[in-house]
Amino acid sequence: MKKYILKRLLSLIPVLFVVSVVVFSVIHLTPGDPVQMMLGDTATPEMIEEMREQMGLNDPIILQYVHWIGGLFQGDFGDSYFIDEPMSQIIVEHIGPSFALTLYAMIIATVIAIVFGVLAAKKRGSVADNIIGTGSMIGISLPSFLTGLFLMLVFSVKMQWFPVAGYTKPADGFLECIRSLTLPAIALGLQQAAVMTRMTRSSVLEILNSDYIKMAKSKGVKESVLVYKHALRNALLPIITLIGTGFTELMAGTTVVENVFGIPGMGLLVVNSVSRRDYEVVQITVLVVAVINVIAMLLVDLVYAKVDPRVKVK
Amino acid sequence: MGKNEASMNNIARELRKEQAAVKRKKFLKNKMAVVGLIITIIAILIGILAPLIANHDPLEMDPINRLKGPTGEFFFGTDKLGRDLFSRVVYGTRYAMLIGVSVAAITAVLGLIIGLYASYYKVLDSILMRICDGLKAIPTTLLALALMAALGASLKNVFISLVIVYTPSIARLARSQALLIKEQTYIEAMKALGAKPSRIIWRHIAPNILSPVIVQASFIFASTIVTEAALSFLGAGVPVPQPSWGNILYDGKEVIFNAPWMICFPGIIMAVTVWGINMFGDGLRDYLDPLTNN
Repeated sequence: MKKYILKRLLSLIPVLFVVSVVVFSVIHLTPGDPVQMMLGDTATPEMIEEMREQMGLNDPIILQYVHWIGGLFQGDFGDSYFIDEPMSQIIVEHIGPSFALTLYAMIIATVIAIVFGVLAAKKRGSVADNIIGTGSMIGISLPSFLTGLFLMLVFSVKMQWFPVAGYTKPADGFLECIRSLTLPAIALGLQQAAVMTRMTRSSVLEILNSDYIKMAKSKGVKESVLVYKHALRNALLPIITLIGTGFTELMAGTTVVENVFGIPGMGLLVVNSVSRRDYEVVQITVLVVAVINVIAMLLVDLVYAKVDPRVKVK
Repeated sequence: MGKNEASMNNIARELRKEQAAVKRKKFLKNKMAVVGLIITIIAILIGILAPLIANHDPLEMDPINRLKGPTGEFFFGTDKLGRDLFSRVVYGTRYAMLIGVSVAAITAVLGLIIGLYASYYKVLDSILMRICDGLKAIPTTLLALALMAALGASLKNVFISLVIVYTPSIARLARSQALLIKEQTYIEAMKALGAKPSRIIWRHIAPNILSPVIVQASFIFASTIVTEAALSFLGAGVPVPQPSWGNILYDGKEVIFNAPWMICFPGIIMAVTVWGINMFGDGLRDYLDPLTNN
């Protein structure tokens, strides 16, 4: 196991290198001059030149990259042109709502998937199974921002059960915070729920057809005990790994959903920074999300290797 | 000898025809796939025939008729600038289809080339696959957004960004499929006979991995439409005032209290289209690639 972990950790290095190059390139591919944008129209060419020199934008591009990466390792994440706060604090402030939203969506998706997936498997071929099947097919095709807009239209505008947009910090009332995140979390989680429902159904079905379940059945074990105790427990293995990959999917989805509902997370930060041409923030935010993503995928692999030792051999 | 060969060829041709007929029958029996195919064709036709279908200029503003509900003249109502929503949605379909089809086609070709050569040359493999891994580590929308920020908002750049975003997934698939084929004895035999790598790659490996690549491309078609709409919704896609499903929905969100039709119509049309393409993709997978279907 140790060897496997080491191997997987080493394999992260080239991935993170490529990620950093891509992210770094963003600021240097830009057609507009970020310094000009920063200083505004009143800036004289001398001021711009001085600023460029100060920011190291006149150095060769490789040197700039080395400086940037070196800075990152020393905890220097650069500065935002617009937000007068240290970069690390900006990130910390915005990562909270994104995490909360992802976690909430994950819980919703998992609960829906287990309830409906098991139901569909138990009543295979019934009307309920068909409805769940069709529903999950529709769910898979519904992009989260569309679901979000529809939910907003029905539950915020018509019913007025939820706020149209905005976010309440947990410190200002936990219930209000949950209320402000509920629609975004459903919008975000529904697509994932659809994917997971199909997966749960097929893995429960597979196990229900196995010999040991037939054995238990012939011994007279009750149906509910059979499904929930014997089958679901084993069917949970693939579902757990799906939760891992689902986490990265959901984290990705927050970008759009946060913008639909005005949740001040990483997604809103990126989009606002793009429109303000605050490229330093865009760089760091994308990098942070990618690193979280890579770590999450690593954890999934490790959990999987732990659960299924065959993986390590490959 | 010659006669025998000719009759063998005939039998082979007949067999192939029969197989195709069985497969076609199976596809047509899959009602969802047929519905999906019809929806996809209709969406593409709407895209091609947009100038004939739209009854207004999608960019023409009409301040007197601002935020009008659906009427006989404005089928879907109008937006806050008085532009006809129906015509905008029709032209939005045109952009969605244009971007969807072209991105799917180009990523399929590029991904196929990258995957094939990566599977054949070890050094190339480690370089190309690390790049793919790196690109895939960044979430789709975020990567597309960052690229759009770097390149600037234009139709061409939407296209370039989406190709960069989606090529790695096809390349990875093509590579893994090609690696399986490469291990087969007949490829070894080709090598022993002294066939050139390019011949082996294109004549003997490529045809055998086409099916999964085409199926994957159909799903990328659907994903591209969604990502393009998301980009346009975030203000980094098809530049305004050109209509795109995404920026129409964004306009709709701004007037959600006064003009719910601005979200309902384009939203439902987009959902149905994406669903149709996905269904078609599912059917296509069963048709082309029954083995990978689970």
